[in-house]
Amino acid sequence: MKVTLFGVEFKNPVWVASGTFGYGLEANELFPVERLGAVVTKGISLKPREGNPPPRIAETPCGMLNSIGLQNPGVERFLNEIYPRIESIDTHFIANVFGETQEEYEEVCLALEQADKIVAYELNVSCPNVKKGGIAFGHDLTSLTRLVEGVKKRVKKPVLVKLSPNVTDPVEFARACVESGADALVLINTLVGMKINVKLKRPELATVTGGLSGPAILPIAVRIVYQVYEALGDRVPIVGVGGISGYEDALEHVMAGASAVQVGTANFFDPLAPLKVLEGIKGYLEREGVEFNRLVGIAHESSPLR
Amino acid sequence: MIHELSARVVKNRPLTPRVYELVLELPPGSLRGVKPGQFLMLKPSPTFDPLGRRAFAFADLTESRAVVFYEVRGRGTKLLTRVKEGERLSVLLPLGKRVFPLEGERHLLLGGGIGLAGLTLLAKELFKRGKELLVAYGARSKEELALLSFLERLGVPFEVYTEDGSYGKRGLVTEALKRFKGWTVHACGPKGMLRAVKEATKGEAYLSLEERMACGYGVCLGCAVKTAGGYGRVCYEGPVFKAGEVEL
Ligand SMILES: Cc1cc2nc3c(=O)[nH]c(=O)nc-3n(C[C@H](O)[C@H](O)[C@H](O)COP(=O)(O)OP(=O)(O)OC[C@H]3O[C@@H](n4cnc5c(N)ncnc54)[C@H](O)[C@@H]3O)c2cc1C
Ligand SMILES: Cc1cc2nc3c(=O)[nH]c(=O)nc-3n(C[C@H](O)[C@H](O)[C@H](O)COP(=O)(O)O)c2cc1C
Ligand code: FES
Repeated sequence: MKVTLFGVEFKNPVWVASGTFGYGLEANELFPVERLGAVVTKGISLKPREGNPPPRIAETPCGMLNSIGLQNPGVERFLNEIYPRIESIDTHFIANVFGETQEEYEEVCLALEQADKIVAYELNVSCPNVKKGGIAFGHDLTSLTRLVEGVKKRVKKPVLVKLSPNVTDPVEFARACVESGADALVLINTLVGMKINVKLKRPELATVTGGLSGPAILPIAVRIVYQVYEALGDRVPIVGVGGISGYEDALEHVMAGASAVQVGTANFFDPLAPLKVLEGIKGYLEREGVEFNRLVGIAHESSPLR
Repeated sequence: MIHELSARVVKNRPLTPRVYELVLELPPGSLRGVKPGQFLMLKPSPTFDPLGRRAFAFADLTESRAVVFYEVRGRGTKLLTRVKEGERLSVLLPLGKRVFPLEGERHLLLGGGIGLAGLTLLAKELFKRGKELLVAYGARSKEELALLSFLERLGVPFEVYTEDGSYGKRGLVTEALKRFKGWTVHACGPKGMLRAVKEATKGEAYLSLEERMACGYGVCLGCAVKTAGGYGRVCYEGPVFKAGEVEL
């Protein structure tokens, strides 16, 4: 089930989402990570980030909230300590990149240019859990345009932009990215939410609000993929992420317009979910006698159920 | 290796209204090498609501069975009480990279409430190795000593503390610290108790920590505990930590 996107060939279109798979090392104890089409790393920033104080997670109906706060060792320690250990894993890695300023995004990408295992950058302009950077770009068309143009000018590897669902019209932001030269769009990051502990009469997360993920957000992610594909599907590939835990969820993303998918929160409660999604899609293609590529965006071709 | 397995529920019965004993039958060999201090994550319901797995200590092990004692706290554990014998549960195990140290000749194990379940496998192992040990088990009152008969059956030296004096010695388990100076201290229980143990042992005790966990195998960074070197993962750098290394 090979797919070629933005000039890179992937063994399959089932990837794992940033922040839900570490750097791919831990899960190797559960299954051979090389079976995945790609691993998207936890967000990497220029300087180390400590992350937010606990409690950082809370369970919600069919979902969860997190406010990890992009805890990571910084790009230098990533390269020295983690990168040598992922080099032997036989699949592609995509670096999820975060910056407080445009320069920081550019510096992180530049630092990773020589690291061959990293085949592309995924700019995270949509993390709801940090005070500076991130959504400051993802929620502002002018700075987003400047960021994508700036990064594209300085790096050789493909640049993916991961967008926020917390805007009125995601298509506007997607269009700004495409017009600034983005090689692909990743949809979606988490939705801002909160939970209150009724017994203690206080918010459940130390940061009060957090990002909602898991099965609860599947229909929102599918809707956004569908809208963006309708407007821009002929211009760049879309990577679908949000609420995928089984192959049918993944196929919803694909039929809405995604050329590849990422499994996120499902890795927590069902660690073998990515493999089940992969096998499930293969089975579907066989049963239906159809090629994967043929399914991308297919839901746009016919009228809705009546 | 970590395994996701389907376990058969052999037993799921209340010991007191709030504490249950759960015995799981697993494929032969899957429990080999499990160390005292490690834990498992199980899904109380196969549905999306509640979504996550719940963490429990291995309280006892045989070749193919794992014993868990759980306290009913919220939705997940409430649902778990409804699981019938003969049904199956998805479990992830063994989890936790840092475990209780077995070195040293004399060991004091302090278990507060259900926290004792995190120490009984350790007690068994130390006893088997011929170490000198004492388990101090504490609870608010006699009615809450759910694991007393299990502890008796374990056959290791122990003493009991209740806050109201309704059974054993009156007071907190931390009282035992005064009489066993120089022993290796291991503790598991409520945060307040762990803080007291940390202070009384000047950071020398080994504590098994609890934090909310989404994955249990190190990928979500949800289970953060503050250490000198930044936030550590309770499920991965722990769950056992030297008290002096963590902020509680
Ligand atoms: C390493 C480890 C070992 C544990 N061993 C035992 C044991 O042997 N026996 C036992 O009774 N309990 C144990 N616990 C605590 C047990 O995991 C929680 O009581 C349980 O998750 C509560 O779930 P709930 O749905 O009933 O509660 P809810 O409050 O409804 O849970 C809501 C969410 O918070 C999480 N949560 C709530 N309280 C805790 C807690 N104290 N620790 C971790 N997560 C929590 C839940 O997992 C869930 O995601 C252990 C926890 C850890 C981290
Ligand atoms: C615990 C956690 C940490 C995350 N960390 C990041 C991150 O560092 N960078 C990022 O772009 N997205 C991050 N995300 C968002 C996911 O990659 C994904 O976009 C989102 O969770 C929706 O997918 P899901 O419903 O399948 O989880 C994180 C999500 C979770 C749950
Ligand atoms: S529970 Fe996910 S990292 Fe510890």
